[in-house]
Amino acid sequence: MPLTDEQLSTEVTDLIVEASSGVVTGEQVVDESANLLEKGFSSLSFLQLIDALETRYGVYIDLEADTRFLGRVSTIVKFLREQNVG
Amino acid sequence: MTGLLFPAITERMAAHPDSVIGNLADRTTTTQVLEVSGSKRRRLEQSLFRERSRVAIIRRNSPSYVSDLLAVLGAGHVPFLMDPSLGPGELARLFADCGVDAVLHDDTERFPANRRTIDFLGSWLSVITDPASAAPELHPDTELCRLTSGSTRTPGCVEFSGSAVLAAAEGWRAASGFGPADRVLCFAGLYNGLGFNAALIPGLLAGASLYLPAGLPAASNIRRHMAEIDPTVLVAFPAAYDGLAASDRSTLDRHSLRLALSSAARLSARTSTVLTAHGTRIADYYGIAETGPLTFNPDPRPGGGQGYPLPGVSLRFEGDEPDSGRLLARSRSMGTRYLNYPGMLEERITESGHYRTNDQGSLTADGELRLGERLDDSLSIGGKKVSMSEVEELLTSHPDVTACAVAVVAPPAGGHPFLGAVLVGPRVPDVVEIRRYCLTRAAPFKVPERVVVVPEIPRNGAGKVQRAAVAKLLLASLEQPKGRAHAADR
Repeated sequence: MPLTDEQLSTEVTDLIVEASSGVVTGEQVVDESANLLEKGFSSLSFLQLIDALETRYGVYIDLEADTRFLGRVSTIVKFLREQNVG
Repeated sequence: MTGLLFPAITERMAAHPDSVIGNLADRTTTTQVLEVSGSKRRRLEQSLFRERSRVAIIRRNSPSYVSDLLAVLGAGHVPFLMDPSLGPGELARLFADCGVDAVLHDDTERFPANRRTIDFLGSWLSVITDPASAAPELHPDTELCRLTSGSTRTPGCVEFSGSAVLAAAEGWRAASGFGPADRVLCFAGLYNGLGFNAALIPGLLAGASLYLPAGLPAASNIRRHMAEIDPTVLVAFPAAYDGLAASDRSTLDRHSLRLALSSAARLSARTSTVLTAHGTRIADYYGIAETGPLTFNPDPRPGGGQGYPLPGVSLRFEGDEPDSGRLLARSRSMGTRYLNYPGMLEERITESGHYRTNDQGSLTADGELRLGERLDDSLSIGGKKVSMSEVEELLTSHPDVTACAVAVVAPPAGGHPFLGAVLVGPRVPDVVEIRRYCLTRAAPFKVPERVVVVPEIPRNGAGKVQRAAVAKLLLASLEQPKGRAHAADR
């Protein structure tokens, strides 16, 4: 059963909260008026999120390219859809 | 006048014309890098007319970093290697305090309009059109400047002579055995001591191939580079090794690594043990910006110390015990002075020529250094140092923050330690506004990830901040991640 956008967003939100060790809350994550860096994501949190996304969804994130899509749930979900996830 | 560094480096590079200086997308040879640096040097000569112009290099790792550096040195100018994560406010202050004339960079969005920016063959050259009028003079022997953090209130600019830089690199090359057959994969920024003194300059002098990725050292990214490059030397901060040890390790058994280098923060014994089981032994060495690398152990073991003094290094201890206490270090690679903090480095040099560090340490019976606690209020965030007072000054510069206290907190359910702050003020804004304010002024690693508003800062009877109580307040504010909650339930 393919995941809906809402289900995929929920999964990604959980991964983000976990990558930040709970520093960024789920409530903060879904408010997209700011990006994750502005909400409290550190470079170590981004490292963990990248590994979590690649492991969970089997995707390849090119870190030598533009990675600004990692700043918001909606753009991460868009990236995952483009990689045929869900 | 090109000093000592430029001829020493370029002659050795020319002797190894086919060594690679590249990344996954771009495997240029030493010969090509030398040709590009020559073209860049001619452009610099057409753009900068002052002798010994001060040129900041602020960019991520890439082959262009090397040709930029050589172009500046070859034109007789002085490169200032700066952390690209520094905030606009920090850079503006450094440019003014150090009299920076131009910036070589890879990010046109970050550098404001009072600069004339031209294409620089893979980089951008921004010439500062309103340079500081009363910049301090450079020491006559200075050929290169690098920044230190944590030793001075704001980033200190350390001046180095060419002979100091070469001494650091030659000492490291001899101890680590860098040679033309090595393929060095460096995830540490080249502006940083780990990247500069333990990879870039010794690698160039040894004729090794250098691979310089710009991307974050996520475990998957390291594995990808290891699979494609098959490096013999890996250079990265402890957090990168932590990620590697925690990830899928099945791909780690097939490699040619003979050396993995780490520094700047304590390496976890667990990480070291896990990676050793997969044939990757991590040499955790000790060095600081002001002195260069000080120790090395070619035969590291999990849970071991930071290695043995490098040739030419003298370690002493201040305190009651002969082999433990505050570390005093003397090397042939010492910085000369802080350009923007006159007299402060000289004040820390003892009569014997040793630099008084802010680290405690001791020597084991066989002479290996074991680092102890820091003696100042500096924090280590992902391998970068910052003083608590610098972070607290940054926060209290916000008009709505009247008092604050910071702490580094380790979540009890696992995950990485984070920098947090408790804030006092009548109208303290939310975390996003606080971070936006701070991020325009300082590097992200200096900006607390979590902030909590409190009625007053926890202090003891003597008025001293109770850091344990600050940490407790920050921990209580965390959201329990679902994955970890489930793991704990099991």
